[in-house]
Amino acid sequence: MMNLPELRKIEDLVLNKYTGKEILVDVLEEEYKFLHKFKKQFLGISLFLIDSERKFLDEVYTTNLRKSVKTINSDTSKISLKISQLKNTPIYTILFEKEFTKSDGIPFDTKHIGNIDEKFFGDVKVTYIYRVKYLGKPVGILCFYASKPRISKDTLEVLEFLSQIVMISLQKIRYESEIDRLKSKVNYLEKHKEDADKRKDDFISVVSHELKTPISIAKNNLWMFKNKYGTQITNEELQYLKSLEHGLYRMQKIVDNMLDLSRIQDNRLELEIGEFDLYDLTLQSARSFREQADKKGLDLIYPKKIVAPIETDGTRLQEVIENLISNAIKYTEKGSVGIMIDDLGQFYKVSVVDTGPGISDHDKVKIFTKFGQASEGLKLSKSGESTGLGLYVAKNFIEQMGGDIGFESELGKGSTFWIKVPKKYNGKRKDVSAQKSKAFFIFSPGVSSG
Amino acid sequence: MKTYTLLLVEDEEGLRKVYTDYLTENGFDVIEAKDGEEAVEKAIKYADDIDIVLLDLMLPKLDGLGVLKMLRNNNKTRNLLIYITTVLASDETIKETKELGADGYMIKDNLTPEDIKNRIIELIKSNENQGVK
Repeated sequence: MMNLPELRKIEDLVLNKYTGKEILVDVLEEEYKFLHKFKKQFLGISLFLIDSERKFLDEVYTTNLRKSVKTINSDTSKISLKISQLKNTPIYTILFEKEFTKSDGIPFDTKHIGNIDEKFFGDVKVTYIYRVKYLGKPVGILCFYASKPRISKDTLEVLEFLSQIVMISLQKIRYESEIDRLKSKVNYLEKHKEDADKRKDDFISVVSHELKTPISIAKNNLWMFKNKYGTQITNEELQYLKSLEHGLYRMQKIVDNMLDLSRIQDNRLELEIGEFDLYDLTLQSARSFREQADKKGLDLIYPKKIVAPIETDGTRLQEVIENLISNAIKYTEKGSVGIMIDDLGQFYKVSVVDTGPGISDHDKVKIFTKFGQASEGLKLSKSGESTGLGLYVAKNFIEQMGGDIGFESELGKGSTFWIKVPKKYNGKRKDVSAQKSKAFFIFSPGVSSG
Repeated sequence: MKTYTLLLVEDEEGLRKVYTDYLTENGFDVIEAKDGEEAVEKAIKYADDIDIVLLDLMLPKLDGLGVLKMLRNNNKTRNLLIYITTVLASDETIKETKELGADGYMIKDNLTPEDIKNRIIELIKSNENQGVK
């Protein structure tokens, strides 16, 4: 009985098609159509749901044969039936003619049933009433009107199934309105998150631009000083200037990192893709550490010359490589730091190998996290720099370029940090309306567009 | 070496002095302006002599974009070569200066005075080659 295809069809309609406030009416129409075809004795269906004050049952739907139009009535003929007195048994059999048999002593006013008869059924002999529940609580009744007092067990099962479907429909309505409520809440939060982001963005922008100006002034004046008096400066005096310069360089890096970090966090990092030679970039980076390495008595080994064209964000790639070399030199007290480039077909691999103390298993997990900084078994160099952001930002850059970053290390044996970058960039490109190199550009040579 | 005349618009004294000193030593006559209003005044006054304007964006009294608008609206200064030099680097800002008629844009953070001098000469020379002036 339960496998009647028509029943499954109604269930499927509720689950997958019907939506919105009209679900109940649509479902009951379908149920009536099926029921009447199935057993001619069934003349109609009514659904009553409890009102908001939980005092009465309101008529939500009754099959209207005469007009063949759905009726949705919410305030005619209230049945004075106290909900709290509805019992567990699913069926009440009511004999028409204003007499009814209660199987459990619940008073039931038949006035309404009389109205039903006046509406359209001249022949109602029996009303089968099923309690409709939502989340375990009774919220109404579903009535099947029949013209014959007897009913088979199979037919009873069908009625029970139909009442289950009505309950599923109710649930669907409630879920849909809950989803709408949550959706509008999410929209509200998203809109305000955007506002919050804009405010944060302005704050970081303002702060970093405020910082850029004094840094720029200091750098430029230092440059001018060296430019004018460079030949008259003793080596000792020059050292002080070099430290000054390095301090400014680090400040600049921090400001740039701050901006990049906030962009990474907001998924707004945009790479500036160009064509470079990886060997040239790497050699340039390596050379800039020659002095630092010499001072520590470390061997700095440059990569072997290869031709290595690459399409990527050259500036940021160089920053990453310099980060790795800087770390290697910082943490190595004796021996060497070697930089190597390998051509792996679709990728290049740049490795920085050091003979430092290595990284313990305990520290390994922290390496690419925001504030991780391997410290065990190491003496931090005197400059003691590093906000710990370097490798976190580096990882983000490399991954956004379509590459990978990693390391191998063993305590007492040194470490190798490597990056793999694709030769061709395959990701999102910035939509720039004006060509933009790192420092300057000309809009249209010599012609003013005034 | 040919002498070029440059109107330098820069409110930060520490930078202005560096640029003026360096450019003067390298063959430029430098006219200084330390805010937007002064920039417009001097641009109009010396329009016939000025070969290029170096314009900062963050200025007191009248900001760089305002200066740009006024210079492009004035017959005397409408065709002056104007090179934006600033620390601001957003695409929107760059686009805006281009739309308002700037001839070029320099993000001065990472440029030394020498770099800036070279860029200026490049822009002036390529402009001359176009036969506009």
